[in-house]
Amino acid sequence: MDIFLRDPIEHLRTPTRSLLAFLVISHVFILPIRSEVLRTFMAELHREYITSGRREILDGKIYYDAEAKKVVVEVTSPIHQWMFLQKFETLIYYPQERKAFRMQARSDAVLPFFQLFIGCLKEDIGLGDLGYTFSRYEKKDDILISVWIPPIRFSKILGEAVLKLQANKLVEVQYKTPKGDLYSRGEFGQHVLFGGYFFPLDVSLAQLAGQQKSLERVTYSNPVFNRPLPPSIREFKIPEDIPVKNVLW
Amino acid sequence: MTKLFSGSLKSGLAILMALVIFSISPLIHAALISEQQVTQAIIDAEAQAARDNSGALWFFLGCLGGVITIAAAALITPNVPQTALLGKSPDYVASFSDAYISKAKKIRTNNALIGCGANVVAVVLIYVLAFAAVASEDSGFYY
Repeated sequence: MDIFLRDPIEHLRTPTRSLLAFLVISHVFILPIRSEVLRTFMAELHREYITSGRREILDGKIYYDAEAKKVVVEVTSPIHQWMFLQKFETLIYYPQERKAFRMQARSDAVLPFFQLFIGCLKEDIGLGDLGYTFSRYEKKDDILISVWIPPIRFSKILGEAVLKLQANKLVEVQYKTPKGDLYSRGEFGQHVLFGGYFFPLDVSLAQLAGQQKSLERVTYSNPVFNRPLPPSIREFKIPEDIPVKNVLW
Repeated sequence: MTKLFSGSLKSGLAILMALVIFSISPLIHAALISEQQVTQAIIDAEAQAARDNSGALWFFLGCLGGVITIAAAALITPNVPQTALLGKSPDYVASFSDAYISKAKKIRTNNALIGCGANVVAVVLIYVLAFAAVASEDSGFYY
C-alpha cells in the first residue's frame, strides 16, 4: 500500500479502481515489510546467449552500487574483461591485452538483463518510468496478470506489456507488438527474498518476433546484498600507462 | 670432411627454418582470429543496427520534420548496445562500435531522406491538382 504514498499523482492518472484492486491483490498473499533498502549487490554471473545458430557463454561477476547507480561486470570467461557502466559512460578494460575503451552516450548506460533484475524493486518493474500506464488486471488461479499500455507517442511501434505475478514474485513479462502479437517474453525463477522484494536469480529473455530470434539466459549465484563493495570496484582507475580509446556515442 | 660439413649445414638450416615457422605461426594464427572477430563484429553490428533502428519510424519522422530530421539522423550518434560488447575481445568491441554507428546512421538518414522526399512530392502534387482545379474553373473547361 505504500505505493500511494510514493506515487500519489501516478495512480490518479490511471483507472483508479482497477489499480487499487491490482495493488491490494498483489499484496494480499504476502504483505512484505519493505524495511531494508537495496544499497549494493554482488553475485556470480552466468550468461548464455543463443542467436542465428550461435551460442555464446559468459561467466563472471556482477556488482551494483545503487547510490552511485553503477554496474560493474567482471567477465572471467571467455576473456578477462571489465565493464563499468555509470550514468552516461561505459568503460571497458582489458587487463591482459592492456587496452581500454571509454564510451560516452546521451542516455544512461544499462544492461537490459540486469535492469529487469533491479526492476523488481518496483511493482511495475519500471514500466511507469518508461511512460507505460496501467490498463487492467485479471487473476488466473494464483497468478495476478496486469496489462500496461505504451505511451501514445510510441503506440505505433510498441504494444501492450503484460506482467505476471505469483505470490508476489514476478514470474513473467510479455511485450507485444501494436497488433497484439507476442514480441518478446521474459521468465523469472529462483527468487530470493531481500528487504521485502523478490529478486529472480534465473532470468530468461526470448525474442520471438522480428528478423532475428534470440534467447538469453542469465543466472546469478551466491548473491550478496548490502555488503560493502571491494575497494577495487569502488575506487577503480585505469592504469595510467594504458591507452584509452574514447568513443562518443 | 666437406660432405660432413654440408650435411651439418643442411641440418642446421632445417632446424632454423622449423624454429622460424613455429615462432611465426602463433602470430599468423592470432592475426587470423583477429580478422575473424572483426568480420563477425561487423556482421553482428549491422544486424543489430537494423533491428534497433526502425526504417518506418524514420520515414515518418522525415515526412514530418523534413530537413531537421535528416540533420538529426546524420549528426546524432546512436548508442551502441552494451550487452553486445560483453565478453568480447578488444578488436570485436572496436569494430562492432564503428560498424553499428555507421549502419544505424545510414538507416536513419536514408529513411529520413525518403520520407522528406515523399512529403515534398505529395505537397507538390497537391498544389498541382489544386492549381489545375482552379484553372479549369476560371476557363470554364473541365479537364
